[in-house]
Amino acid sequence: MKKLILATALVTISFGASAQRYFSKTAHIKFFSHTSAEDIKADNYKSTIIIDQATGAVQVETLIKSFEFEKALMQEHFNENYLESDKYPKANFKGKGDFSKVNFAADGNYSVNVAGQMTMHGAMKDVSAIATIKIVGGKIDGSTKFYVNPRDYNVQIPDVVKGQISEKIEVTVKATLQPLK
Amino acid sequence: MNKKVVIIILLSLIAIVGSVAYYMWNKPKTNAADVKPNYILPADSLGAAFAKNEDAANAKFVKDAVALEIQGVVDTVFVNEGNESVIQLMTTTPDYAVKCYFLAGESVSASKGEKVVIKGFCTGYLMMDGVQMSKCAIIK
Repeated sequence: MKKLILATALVTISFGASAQRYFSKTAHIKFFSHTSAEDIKADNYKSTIIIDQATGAVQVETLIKSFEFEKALMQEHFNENYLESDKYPKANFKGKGDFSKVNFAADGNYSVNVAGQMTMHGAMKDVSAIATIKIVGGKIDGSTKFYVNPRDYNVQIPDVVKGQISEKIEVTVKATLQPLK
Repeated sequence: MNKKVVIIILLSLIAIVGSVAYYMWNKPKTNAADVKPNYILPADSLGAAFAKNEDAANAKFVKDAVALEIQGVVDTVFVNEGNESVIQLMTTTPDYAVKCYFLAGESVSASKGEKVVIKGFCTGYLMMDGVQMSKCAIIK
């Protein structure tokens, strides 16, 4: 009987450990536009990510007005003219990844295919990317990189600045994840 | 009109337009310290407004031209990876804390339990995190 109780307890503990959720409230999202005329970058260190290992669900949320540009004028144009952040204040990604292969309790490196839908500026598009999970001494770092075309999200760019904004904008996401208790 | 006068007027115009363009391009980021607030409310009321109806709260508070003056009690103070100081104000609605972000490099002086009044611009609500304010300035 004791053996049965012990076995049940071990199964429960291991299931609990593998079925955890991991999150960050300080995820860093950066976008970078490169053209021969100009490089433009913006950073946002206040985004949220949640990963549910049991279901593979991944959700990312970010506020458009929280992207910081080097120049105040660029930031104004980005919010007022391009992303219309008064009207569309938030962007999000909802998708799934195979996180079941990740042992969050031990050091290791994993590549996880993540696919889902990103909503921005009122438009939703399919997005897929490879996310990297690196675990060292209990610290869980997640990162990914993918590309978006502003036109896919109905972002109108005036002809006069078309040469200065890339049609292939690099988006990088980095976060240190913590177990959600 | 004398040709010289025309040239001087043209050069003056170019210099004025160039100066304005240069100023606009390099104008510094400013916080909300000198902006007249459109709404004055406790942090708890702001959090509760987003908890009740996020879309309605966005429509009311998340506008470039709408500044808020928030009264609250400091919960935590920290500096994030972007070198932005952050003051989180206590609210009674779980997951709807108010987080006030200051311009990168600006230091703040506040401690847990202190009553503060902060001006800033609301940028919206994020799941699990709360309501975010940007370009904040401590008024008292």
